[in-house]
Amino acid sequence: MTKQTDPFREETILGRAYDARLMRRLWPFVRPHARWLGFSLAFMPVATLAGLAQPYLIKVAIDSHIVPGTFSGIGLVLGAYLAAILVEFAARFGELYGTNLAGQRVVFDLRRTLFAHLQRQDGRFFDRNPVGRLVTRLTSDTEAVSDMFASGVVAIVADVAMLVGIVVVLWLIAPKLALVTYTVLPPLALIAVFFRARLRDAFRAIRVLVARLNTYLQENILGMTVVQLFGREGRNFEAFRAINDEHFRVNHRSNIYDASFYAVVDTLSSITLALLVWFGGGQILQGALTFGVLVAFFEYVQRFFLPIRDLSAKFTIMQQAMASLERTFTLLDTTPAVASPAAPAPLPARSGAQGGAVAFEGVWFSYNGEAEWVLRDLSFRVAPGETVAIVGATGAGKTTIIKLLQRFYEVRRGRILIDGLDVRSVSLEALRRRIALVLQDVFLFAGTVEHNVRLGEAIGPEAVARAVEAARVSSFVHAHPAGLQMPVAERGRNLSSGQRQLIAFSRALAFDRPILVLDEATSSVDPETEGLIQEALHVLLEGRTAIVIAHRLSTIQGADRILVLHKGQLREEGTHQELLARKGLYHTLYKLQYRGQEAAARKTRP
Amino acid sequence: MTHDTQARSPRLGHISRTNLQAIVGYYRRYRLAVAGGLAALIATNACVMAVPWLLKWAIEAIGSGAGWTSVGRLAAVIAAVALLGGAFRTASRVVIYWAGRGVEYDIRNDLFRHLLRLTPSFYDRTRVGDILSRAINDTSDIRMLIGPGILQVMNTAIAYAAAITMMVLLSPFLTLCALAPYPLMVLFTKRYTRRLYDLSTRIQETLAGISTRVQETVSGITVVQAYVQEDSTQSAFEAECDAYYRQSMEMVRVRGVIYPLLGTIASIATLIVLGVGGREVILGRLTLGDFVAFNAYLGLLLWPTIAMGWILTVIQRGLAALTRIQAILATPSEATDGPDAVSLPTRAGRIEIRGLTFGYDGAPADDGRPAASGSVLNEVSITVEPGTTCAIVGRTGSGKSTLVRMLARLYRPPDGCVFIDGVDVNRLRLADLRACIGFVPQESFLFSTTIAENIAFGRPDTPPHEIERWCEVVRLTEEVAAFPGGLESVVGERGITLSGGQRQRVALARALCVGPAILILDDSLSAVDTETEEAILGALEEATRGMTKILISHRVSTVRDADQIVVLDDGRVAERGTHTELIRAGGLYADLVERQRLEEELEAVEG
Repeated sequence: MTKQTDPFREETILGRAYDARLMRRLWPFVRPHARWLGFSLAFMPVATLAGLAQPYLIKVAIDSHIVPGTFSGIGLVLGAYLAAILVEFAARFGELYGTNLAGQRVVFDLRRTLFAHLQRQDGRFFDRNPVGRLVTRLTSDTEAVSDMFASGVVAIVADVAMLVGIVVVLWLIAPKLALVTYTVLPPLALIAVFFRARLRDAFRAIRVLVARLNTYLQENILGMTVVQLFGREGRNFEAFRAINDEHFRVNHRSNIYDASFYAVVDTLSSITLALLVWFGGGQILQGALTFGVLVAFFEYVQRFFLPIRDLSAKFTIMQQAMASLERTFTLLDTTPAVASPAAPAPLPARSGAQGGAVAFEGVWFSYNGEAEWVLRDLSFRVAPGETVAIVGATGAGKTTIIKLLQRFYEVRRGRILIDGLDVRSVSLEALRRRIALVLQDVFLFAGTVEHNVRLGEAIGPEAVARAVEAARVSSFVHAHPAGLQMPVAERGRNLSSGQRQLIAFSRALAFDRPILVLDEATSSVDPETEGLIQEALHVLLEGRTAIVIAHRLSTIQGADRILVLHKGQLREEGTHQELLARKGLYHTLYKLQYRGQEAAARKTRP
Repeated sequence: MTHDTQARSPRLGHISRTNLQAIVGYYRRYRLAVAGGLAALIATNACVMAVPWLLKWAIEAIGSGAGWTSVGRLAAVIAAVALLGGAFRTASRVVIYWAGRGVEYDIRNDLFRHLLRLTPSFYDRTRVGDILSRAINDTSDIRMLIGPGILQVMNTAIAYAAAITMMVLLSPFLTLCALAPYPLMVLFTKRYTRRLYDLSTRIQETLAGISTRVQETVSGITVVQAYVQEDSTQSAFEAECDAYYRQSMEMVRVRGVIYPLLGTIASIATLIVLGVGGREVILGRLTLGDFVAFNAYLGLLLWPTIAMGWILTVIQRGLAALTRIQAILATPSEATDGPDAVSLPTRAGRIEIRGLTFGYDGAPADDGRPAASGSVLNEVSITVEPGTTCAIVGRTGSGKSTLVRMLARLYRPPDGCVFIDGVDVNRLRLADLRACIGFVPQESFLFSTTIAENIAFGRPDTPPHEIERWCEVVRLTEEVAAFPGGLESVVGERGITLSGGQRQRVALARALCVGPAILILDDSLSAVDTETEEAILGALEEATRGMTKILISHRVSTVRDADQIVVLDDGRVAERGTHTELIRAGGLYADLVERQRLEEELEAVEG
């Protein structure tokens, strides 16, 4: 999305009912299933012919049997009529089935493509696109496209085929009477155009008003406390009622058009009937026409007016589909700034359990242009197997280091090396398969504990069991009747923050990556869980290269080296004791963030 | 739009008494319109039913060799009746749909009026999306039930009764034969609507699942990408899409059968009329005119029959929506004045809190916080004399916000605990209470109107020069001048984006503008830099002389000059005194001062 459009207008704008450019873009999605559309279209003439045959057979029955009073052969006509009914039924079913099948498959592919596209995006994309908007793209918008297939395009073609068929058949049966019938077509067309324009404007006004109702409500619900604190209930109710009132009036107007259109079409159909009685009756009196033809005309006229009534509904469906397609393709047009190189360099094979050297060389980074640098000329190395703790005040740039290492964002200047290779020269997959990440705010998926440990990876049950055991997840899972299948609610809200951390640890263990990146949680947990976390952490750090954003005193004390970050720069480096002795930034940080823990630890351990 | 996943629609049999009463109650205002609509509907059907009979006369006239003029006269009558019928049809629809829209309008107003009276405790446990969905989608569903739904029910009943009567008048025997397939039709409709309903519920659930999956994946994209789980996530997503595809195709099969089948059964009735009726004509028991008219009447039954399935759905959805709306309307509001509510005797602004203990009861909050065990506030007693300043400090979750929210009765405190100018806040008229408090909440929520209107939110008739003065007090004048529209610039999505600090200052000006006796700042200058804050506090000193002030803050610089500082810890008053006294005591407050000194020291180090 290049320009920031009003999100709310974006959802309400309705344009044309057919846009060739959008349809051309949709074509690659349709092509694989085009044969189903072909299948459907093949049924259309059959259905149309079978439908057209029925009034004609009534004509034959009247003219050849009922009026002359001959029974013989009427069975044949009735049989043909039955056949026409059944064939029409079968053909309509085939027609419907084909279009829906094509439509559903196109939607399936569209959704799949969109989802895959979403998963390829980088951090910047997700910063810019709210979740709700993306969900709408994959649900409502694709649904609108499906509706277009189900009751838009093909239905319109079928309707038009039937209309044209009726016009032709009338001409073939009785040209003079047909001409008389055709005289209603111009007024019908005029009426349709007149009402279509009115209805379209009314629909547009309604959509805008519904959106206004929505926004006003949403704003008031979100700001209800302020409304109440400032005693604005009365005024805001009046404002709401004004919008509601306008909504009511616009809808009433559209109702009048809608009801009139329906009635006018209906009336026109009856007037055509009267016209037929008058002119056709005269012709019969002159012996120029048979009763059968007149009755057949009655039937054809009724069939002619049927599809005209719901023309406006189909038109709206098409409009909505076009608007949805526009938004869908806009989303598909975004290209992630971060992608695997065309010819990725292979990362050197891992040697044993050790492995994973990390180096930052003169890294500069900013989230927005070059105005606010979050990292400034940052350089450091982490040797294989080494545990490095990163400390710093809020806003020092600690989390950014993790995001850059994983290549969720691209560095602006300088480079990051993994085992001697620039992260931009290897494939994203290879890079990320080297690193196990544990975030400060542990994200759990709805499902089971086991699913959250191994995610979708093919990790054997023993390995999962080992990871669960080592990360002390077993401490609470074993007590649960379902064991590892213990359910996890959305975002893990049925678990405590300590339990969530342990699950994240076991996830990292199960994936067994040479490099561990850990952003320690800040929330305090009860002493018992704290003990479990420290044990699990010990297992996790063993043998791995680890970069830890430390919030625990025990972690910084156990680290091989501590990097002190300040305003995006590396300011001090050394072990805990060395840095304390220096009485610099670290000393202040220590007093601010960690000394309290020392006191607390002393308190809990008598 | 959100997908409505809540509450399966009730069965049709479940028209509860309250639902029925509600519908009748809303209809009462429109009973004349509905009666008129019903009359118009009957007139419409009379016209519609007349046409085939006129057709019969016309054909009989043609058959008997009557002149063209008499045929022409009949044709003219047909056209006239058709026009009349069209007019009646338009009238009936317009009037009944109008009533439906009217009911929708009334319900929406009732709902909003009720929402305005519900307290934060309701909003804490209800999602915004749910309320919106009720106010927009559910009211619309009710309108469909009450407008087009009822219209179709009445129309179907009238059309059936009339058409069948006319058919019986033409030929009872033929009527019996022609209607023979109809029981089959009813049977099919019944069976298939049940299946359609179950299927559509399942499809909605699957779609909701897809929607949740997308939401979860986007929210957890870092984990997905970091653990290279794009492929497995993709297959899980595709499995859901596949289920959706299969269910949709099943729906297509069911629908593809049911609608053409209804048409086919109707055609078979025509076939029967053609065979049996044709025979009757040949045998001379029926005229050709009778035959054609009969066929036409049969055709008039087609639409109401096909519409039946649709009507059932509309009724189901409408009733379900009504039930959900009733649930909100039935939520009692705590924010009402009792019969013995009193006005504020003075506006001195003396606050007294005596032994206040309070806990939020009920379900855990939406963000996953565990249900509050025990109380948020414990035996809190504070007295603030008129015109003095009381600062409250304490860790997140220590109960500071809850305490000040009770002063404004956003949460109802227990009786006999919170007093303003000597009156229990629970006994005060709510409007009075809130008019004497200027509250600046933690999240500075602004409305998407102009800056000036936001400042004058609590006193819309504030003259411009006063608004400008408040702007000056909160140090906003220069920044506002830089906006293209100045004070008239619209805030929010469709206008200018204010920084957190700017929003907080507008919210402060908004509170000052009502000229309160008590000013409450709930950590409301946290996003303003320290320098500007000092300037604002200095200007406030002048502008708020005589006001009682309560300041919640994490910043020592904000609270140090307060007349008294209260330190809350875990819902209890841990320390109280002046800055100097508390520093000397060397407790929690002294720790806070020390930590902030260190932070400042760090911040001062050049980058």
